[in-house]
Amino acid sequence: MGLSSLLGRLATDAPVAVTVVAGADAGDVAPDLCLRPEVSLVTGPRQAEVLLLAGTCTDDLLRAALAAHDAIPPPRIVLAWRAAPGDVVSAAFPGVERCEDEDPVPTLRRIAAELRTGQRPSSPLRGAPTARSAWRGVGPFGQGGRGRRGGEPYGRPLARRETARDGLLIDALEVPVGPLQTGVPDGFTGTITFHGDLVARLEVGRNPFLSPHLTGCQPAFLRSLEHPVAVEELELERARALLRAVAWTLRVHGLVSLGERVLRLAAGLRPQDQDQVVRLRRFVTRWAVSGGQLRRVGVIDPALLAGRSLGPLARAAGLTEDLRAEDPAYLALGFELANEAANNDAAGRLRQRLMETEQALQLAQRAGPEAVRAPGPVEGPRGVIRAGSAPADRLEPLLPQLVVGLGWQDVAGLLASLDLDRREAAWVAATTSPASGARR
Amino acid sequence: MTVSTGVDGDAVTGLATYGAALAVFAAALAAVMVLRWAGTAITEVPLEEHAQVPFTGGEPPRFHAWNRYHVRYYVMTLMFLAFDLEMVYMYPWAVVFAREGLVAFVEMGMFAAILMLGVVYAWRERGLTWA
Repeated sequence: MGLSSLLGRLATDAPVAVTVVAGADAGDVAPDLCLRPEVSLVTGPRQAEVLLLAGTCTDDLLRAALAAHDAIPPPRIVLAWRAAPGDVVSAAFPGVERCEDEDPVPTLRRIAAELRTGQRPSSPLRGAPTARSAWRGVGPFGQGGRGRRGGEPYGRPLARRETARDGLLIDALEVPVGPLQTGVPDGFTGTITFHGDLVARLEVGRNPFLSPHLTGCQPAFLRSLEHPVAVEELELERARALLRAVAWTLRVHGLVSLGERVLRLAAGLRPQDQDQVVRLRRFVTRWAVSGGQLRRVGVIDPALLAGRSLGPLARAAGLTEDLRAEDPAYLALGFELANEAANNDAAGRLRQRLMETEQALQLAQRAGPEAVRAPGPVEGPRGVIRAGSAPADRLEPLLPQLVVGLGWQDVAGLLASLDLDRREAAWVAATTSPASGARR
Repeated sequence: MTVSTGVDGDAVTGLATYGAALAVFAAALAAVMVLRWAGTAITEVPLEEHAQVPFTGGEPPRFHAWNRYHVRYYVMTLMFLAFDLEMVYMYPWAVVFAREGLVAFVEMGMFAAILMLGVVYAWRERGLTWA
């Protein structure tokens, strides 16, 4: 008795391994959970025990969530946090645990403890289409009996052959990238075709966050399209978004704990924290990253970026595009364009983001609570946000030509340095429907 | 007699040595079996079929992962072989060169020229460019 109660107590004290499927209106839940010691945010369903469904779950997200659910080894459990009642989640996961609190962590801990001590049954398989079929074929390796090319081992055909760019006949491996893929931006979907270890083609899939009715709190930059918003609020939000992009870049490049420190800084960011950002910029650019990993990764021809209003991305490439330079509210604060222009690679973009974070904090401090910006198209943390056009929408058509010929690690580095945010694009699409666009 | 006892003694010592090796082998085998049994006995969570398919972010894989892979580091391997073989032959050749003189020098020149073809090929494949 003593031993089992001791083991039970130890089991309930261990951090909860969570994998998150977050809709567009719950975008910050993953970075917030990263900072909680009671929760361990794992990189994929194989290491998880709880599947957290946060915010609006679209059909695309739900399909991925079902696959993730079935990939979690039992015992497993699902928690829907701030999901609209009676939506697709209840239909897909009958009897799912729900939570509407501000903070999902206490509920996460409670259900994980109940699961671990056997008071709650494991969630049964939902029959996602990833189930493998039987090995078919007559040859000694299930290959169909005529050479290596025939047959369908486990019901999946073998890769097609294509001619690689060096003239070698090679198997082209098509890898579907789902919305929950580790190492790429959240919600990035598509099909990458590999020739060996290099990318031969990329087809970008549709945005899984797109939903006509997002329920959560509208982000400040989206509100600013139609309503006057305080410059201080916008600039703090910008600084936070930029720091999160920096943290994600650091994480992708293996500097996980430094990334966590940056996330912590972003979570409690105040205008007075400029010196911390300066210290971080010096540390990151001189020591940790730009010395090697990020240099010459993801170089983009500035001509490709011109005219697309892609914010820090364009300014790191030496382009002078910033809507704030024409905004009277910002000109009154003495806004000056920050331009990196030293080298147009992932390291340059990291420096540019940190410089702009610093600048945003300075602007927030100078603006104070009373300076207000007039509604209209706004320079967001990733580029200009207009009615019906988000930065991600303008960036995605460039991706296929940017990734061809890169290895997977450089694709991950490039995508992290681009800071593709499909949640923002979903918000833009949801707030500026065709009807409201016509009203303008 | 003394010779035969000596032989017997040696045979016994030899058997004893094998016996010790056998005992170590048997103990190791038993340890492996026990650990394997304990491993399956305490986990008791069978791997479901869904968990045996690669998780590619929520989309089912379209092709089997059994494919031919382009080994791009072959250029580096080529360079290694070219220079390594050269060095392997140069040491014994240095001894022969002292005795044979010019003939050995010409022969080595021919050998190195053939190896150089490999280096030129690697050069064409951009194997000498850093990163």
